Parts: sequence; C-alpha cells; structure tokens
Amino acid sequence: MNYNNTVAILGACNSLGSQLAKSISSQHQLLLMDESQDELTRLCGTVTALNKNASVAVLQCSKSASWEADIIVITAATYALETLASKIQEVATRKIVIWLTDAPAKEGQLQALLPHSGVVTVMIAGTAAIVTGDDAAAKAVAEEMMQMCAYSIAYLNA
Amino acid sequence: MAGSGFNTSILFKYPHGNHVLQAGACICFIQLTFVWMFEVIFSHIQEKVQLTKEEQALIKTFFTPKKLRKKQYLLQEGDVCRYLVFVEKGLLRSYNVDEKGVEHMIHFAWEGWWMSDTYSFLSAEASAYNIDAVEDAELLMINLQGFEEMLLKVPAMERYFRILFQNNIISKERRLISSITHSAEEKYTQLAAANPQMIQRIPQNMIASYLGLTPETLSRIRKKLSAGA
Repeated sequence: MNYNNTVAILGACNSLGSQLAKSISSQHQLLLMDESQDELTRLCGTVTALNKNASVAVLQCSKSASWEADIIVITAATYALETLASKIQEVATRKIVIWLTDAPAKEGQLQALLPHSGVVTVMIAGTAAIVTGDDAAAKAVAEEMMQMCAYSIAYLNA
Repeated sequence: MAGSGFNTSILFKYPHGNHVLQAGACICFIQLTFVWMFEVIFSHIQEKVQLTKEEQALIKTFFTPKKLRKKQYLLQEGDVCRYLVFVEKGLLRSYNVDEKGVEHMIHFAWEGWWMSDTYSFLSAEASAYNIDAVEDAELLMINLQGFEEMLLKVPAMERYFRILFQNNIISKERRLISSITHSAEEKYTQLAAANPQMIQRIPQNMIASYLGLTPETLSRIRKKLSAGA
C-alpha cells in the first residue's frame, strides 16, 4: 500500500461510492464521508470484512476528508456539485479530483469549479466507465480505480 | 545545490513560529480560533521578503494542503521525496533506520518549519529517510514542478528560499561542530536553550537519538541538571 495514497470518497454510502470503497481498499487508505453515521459504520464494517488489512476511517465533513486525502472522489449529483466544490476548494488545490457519476455529466463542469485541481469525470454506463478530462495524472488514477471495479475504460475525447 | 551541501534533509526555522501554541491559555485559544490556512507560511515568508496580495494569491495555487495523522508517513525510505513541506500545525520528524532497526533522528519540524529530503526532492532519487508525524499535522506541500514555476513567477520567493538555504548551511555547520566538540551535557543544554519547545514537545528517546546519545545518558544528564537547578 502506498503511504501517500489516501482516497476520500465523498458520498461513500451510495451505490457508486460503496462499490468503489469495496474495490480499492486493498490498494488505498480510505476516508469514507457521508451524512449518515450509521450507514458509514455499516460500510466500514463491510469493507473491513472484505479486506481485513484495509485502512478505513469515516468522517462526516467533506472538507476534513478532502484536506486529509491525496485523491478525492465525488459521487454527488450534478445539482449538488457547486455547493460541494465551494466547501472543498480550499483544500483540494493540486489534488486529483474524480467525479464519479451514473448520470450524463457536462464536460468541464467540475474543473471550472475547482480550477487548481486535476479533475476528471467518470461516467458509468453499464459496464463501461467513460473518462473525460484534461489532467493526465487524474485520468491514469481514475482508470486504475475503475479497472479495480471491473469496468471497461472508454475515453470520450480519445 | 547537491554540490553545495544540500545532500541531506532540510529544516528551516521560523523564529516566531511557535507563537500560536506557546501563548498563554486564553490568548492561545483566541489566536487558534482565527488561524487560517497559509497564515503561518505567509508570516514566515514576510519576515524575509515582502509579497503583494496578488503574489500571495498566486503562491496559494502552488501548494497542496494536507492533513497528516499522528504516526502517518509522509515519506518512506526507498521512495522519492516528491515535496517540500511546510508545517502549519503539528510536528514532523525525519529519521533513518539502521540494520538493527534502531531509529536515528535527523530533524524535527513544527509550526513555521520546512521539512523534506532535499537531495531526493531535487534529484528524484530514492530517499534514505523516513518522515512521519509525531503529532497530528496540517501541512502545505509543493512539488518540484510547482516549486520551479513559483520561483519563476514570484521572484521574491527565490530570494526567500536563498535566505532559507543560507540559514540551513549555517545551522548544519553549527550542528556538526557541536557533535564533534561538545560533551553530551553541553549538547543537551545548548539544544534546550536554543529550542525549549523541542524539549517540551518531543519524546525524550527521540531527543536522545537526535543528539546521538542513549536514552539512559540523556536521563542522567536531565537528572543532574534538575538537581543542580
């Protein structure tokens, strides 16, 4: 496990977030963030049951989780993106930010909200993960994570 | 810079870097309430060079804010050191582990200090050091690409780092002279006089290691000094 590879999942308890947490816990230290403490505790238990060596912490503050993380994954819906970005902007500078969504996403929307972060959008469509964004490092990390989740990778602007 | 003696880790002291935590209890609470990210680093920089508001805004975009939990690694031996790190809050240490598993302290960094393995940072070669958090820490980290870009875009920062590197050379020379000419007791008393915060915050076994003493020797010295006080 890399020492500087802490991933915060903001919205960890929805289906995309929990699937990602379970899939990457062997490779990354996890900071699971969501509003419900009960659901977070349940997810934490599930992840550690799947991987007894997993390093998992739960938080209910998106800014704290993002501050501590090296990589930030957002599973928020489009309408909540602006509010969330304003909360984490200060602590997301020069970090990789992955917006994971199963709804059509407007290209560059999150990057405009977080101009000093390396942003990539991953849209899940069936068994494919469609990756868009200009940041090469963010794309590479997103691709690796999606492969751990058993998705096939597609680049929209490849 | 490797040829100029910057082949080990760096540590730069902020003369007033401990003001936030060392103030009296009530004042301390008020100050901590209003501490904002970048406050300590900009105080530190502006002790040496002046920055405009625009330059400050630009500098902020080069740093990655990062929280580190106690005992969490920032760098592990064998990995490349990717960042110069400024401590806004908390305490870091750099150390080497020998073949017998014994830790040898190299440096400590708390509020207002920089920490890195400069040789590894500049050369992209594997580090011989570990860096971890002795206390929960809030850090500002800059990678080599950002560092170079910042120095180009904000010339005042080039002057700032030149001053820091000069101070670092002097500090290293003094530590070398102390290690070869001073007795164990002199080393400890000098350290305690120069860095009282270090004695209060850092575990005794780490201080002993930093001074090249055994914990038993340091304990004897401390007893002797407190008996004589």
